[in-house]
Amino acid sequence: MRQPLRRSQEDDPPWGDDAGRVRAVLIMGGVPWQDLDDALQQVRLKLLEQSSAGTIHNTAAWSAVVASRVAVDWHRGRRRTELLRRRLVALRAPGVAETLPAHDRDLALMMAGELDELPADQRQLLVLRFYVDLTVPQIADALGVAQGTVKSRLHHAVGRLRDRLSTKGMV
Amino acid sequence: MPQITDGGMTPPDNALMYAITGEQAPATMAGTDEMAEATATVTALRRGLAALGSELATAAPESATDPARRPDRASARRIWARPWTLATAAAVVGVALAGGYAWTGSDPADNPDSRSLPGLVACAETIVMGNVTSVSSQGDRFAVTLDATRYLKPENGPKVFTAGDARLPLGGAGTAPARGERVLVVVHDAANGDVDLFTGTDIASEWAWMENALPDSRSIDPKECDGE
Repeated sequence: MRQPLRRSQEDDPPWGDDAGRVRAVLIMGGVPWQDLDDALQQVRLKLLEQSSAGTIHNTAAWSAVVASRVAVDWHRGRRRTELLRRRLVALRAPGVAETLPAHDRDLALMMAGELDELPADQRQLLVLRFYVDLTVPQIADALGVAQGTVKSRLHHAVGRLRDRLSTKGMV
Repeated sequence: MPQITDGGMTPPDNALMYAITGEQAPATMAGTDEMAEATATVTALRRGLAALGSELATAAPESATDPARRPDRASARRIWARPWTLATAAAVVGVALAGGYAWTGSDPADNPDSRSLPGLVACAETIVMGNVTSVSSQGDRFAVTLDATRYLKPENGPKVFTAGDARLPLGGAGTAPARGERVLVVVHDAANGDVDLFTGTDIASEWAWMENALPDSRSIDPKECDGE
């Protein structure tokens, strides 16, 4: 069911309560930590521009798509100097309460390493399909590409991942 | 030699595509080892990204500080200890795992015309393999000209084939192919610059599933390609 976008108050973030997810999409897409605030600002401006230009039916989904695009542009425009996997390890300081099951923590670490290996375009598709949970037609529509392109790239990326998961006994 | 069933499809590749897209797999595929493995792969992928997302979403610093160099580990612990932060993390995982992100309200599984891999081949304009004879850069895209050695779709084509707007090789090292390098080109939509390129060992694996999907793709009306 389509949700019409409510015009944001000037001081409210345009992504509503989804700031955490927007951040995660940016970081998973390759935005360096020190650039995160700038990238968030870019997402905010793009969302405000688009919301003033017309109706956005699902603010949460659209903000994730915009964040993924900002991440791809960031990734292309600057040399990647930080690895996502390294960042995740740094976050896991000794003594930090472990809120996730050990298997999920291992999967998260592995996924960070796998995303590091992928080109920006494939990172974007994996994140939009399996983290943001958009369908293939939605992704194709949002990115302006053929559904076959989205399917082909996802099939390629997930096929590689399947082999690695299997080798490591994760599935 | 891959096992061929289900109208010429290789079960692992086709099952994986159904798992990726969420399209309804044919009854003959239900309960097979291939489908179970494909589903487990996608489930693990979703779970891993949800876990990764929850850590990144909640632990990302407000300030532009590199956590690897941040001396105050206690601050990281405080972030994790905030109840609202944990609640947000749970919500993120919940949203991702629930698969309930209805944007348009249409579920691909509801579409009886979905044909997964054959549909992908049916809607590709050109699938050709050959050796690169020239490459010209166009920003982060490039045009590549091939000495074509084999066409999959159409059945035959010109000896010299040029594709514009090609992206960097999928899964490759992030560089354009060199002259003389063997490549597989898949033109999904030339008018909109949807061109994929494969190099190295990816050529054989990608060619194999597309070749296996070719027989079924011939029964698909090109008018259905709006949905592919």
